[in-house]
Amino acid sequence: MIRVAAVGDLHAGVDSRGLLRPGFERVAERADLLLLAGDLTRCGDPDEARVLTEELSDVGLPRIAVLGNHDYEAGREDEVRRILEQAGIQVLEGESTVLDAGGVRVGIAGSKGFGGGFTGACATDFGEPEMKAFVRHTKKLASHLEEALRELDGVDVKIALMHYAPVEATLGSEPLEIYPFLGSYLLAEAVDHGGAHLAIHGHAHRGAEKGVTPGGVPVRNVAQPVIRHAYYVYSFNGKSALAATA
Amino acid sequence: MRDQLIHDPRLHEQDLTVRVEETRVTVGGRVSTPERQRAVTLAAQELMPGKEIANETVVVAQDEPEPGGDERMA
Repeated sequence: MIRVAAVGDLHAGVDSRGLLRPGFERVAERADLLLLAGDLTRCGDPDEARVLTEELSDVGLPRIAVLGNHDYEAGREDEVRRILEQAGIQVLEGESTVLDAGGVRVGIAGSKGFGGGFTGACATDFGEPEMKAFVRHTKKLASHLEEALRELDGVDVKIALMHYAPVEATLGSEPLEIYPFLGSYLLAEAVDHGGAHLAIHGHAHRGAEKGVTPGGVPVRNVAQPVIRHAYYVYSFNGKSALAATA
Repeated sequence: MRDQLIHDPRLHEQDLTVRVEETRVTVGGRVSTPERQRAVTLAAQELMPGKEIANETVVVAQDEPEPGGDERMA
């Protein structure tokens, strides 16, 4: 059994000191690892990142994160990443990591992801350079996510961690007009082709928790305003995860 | 006004709703701290001077999930 705690959109500010920690006091009793699905800070200010690391220090379990769009706002995302990693929070962008929890090997591949929209209503790599750049950015990140997932072949449980949404279903009551800025079907293709058992994302505050990719992979939107808790826990019965999707 | 509110450096709360009427501005949604709830009123007053501000936001504590509430995936 492996238990995965996950939350996104913590949006730590310099005034968050002492406010986040109480929500994670028992997380190590309830989970084997903690996934953070981006927007860890309000504006990507390094001081905000430091507050987050203080709040999540000593939680007693491995912490793995992707950054979100808010973490890029100040243009200091490299510094934010460095602060998180110095505090022991592993940050993934087109990368993967493997943890061993009680004999179960769980692999996590992560990417911020990006927008573009969903099948039938998506941006295309055509026209102005700005539009091409927008779509190509998503294509690049989705491609890297798929590669990172494929690197995990052989683990017992494979999880895709993103900030942007891979499917429409978890966008819930977000306005239809902003769907292209909330996620992309290209991320779902990466999840499916990479053989993930679970896809986790945040970003859509007015979204819904549960969805599924076209290939049948469960998708969970763990944006804190959606789950309305400090985190949620998803458990896998170890090696059966691979067997169930074989 | 909503865009200006959610990007106010004192707030940066994404989950606000704003309704502007002739003499009154109603702000709803969720905020994470009492300080940010108070800041909603201040920021709204600055954005809409002279209007009555009805701050209907709710402070939502992010508690840990109930024990045994895990979702079993496979």
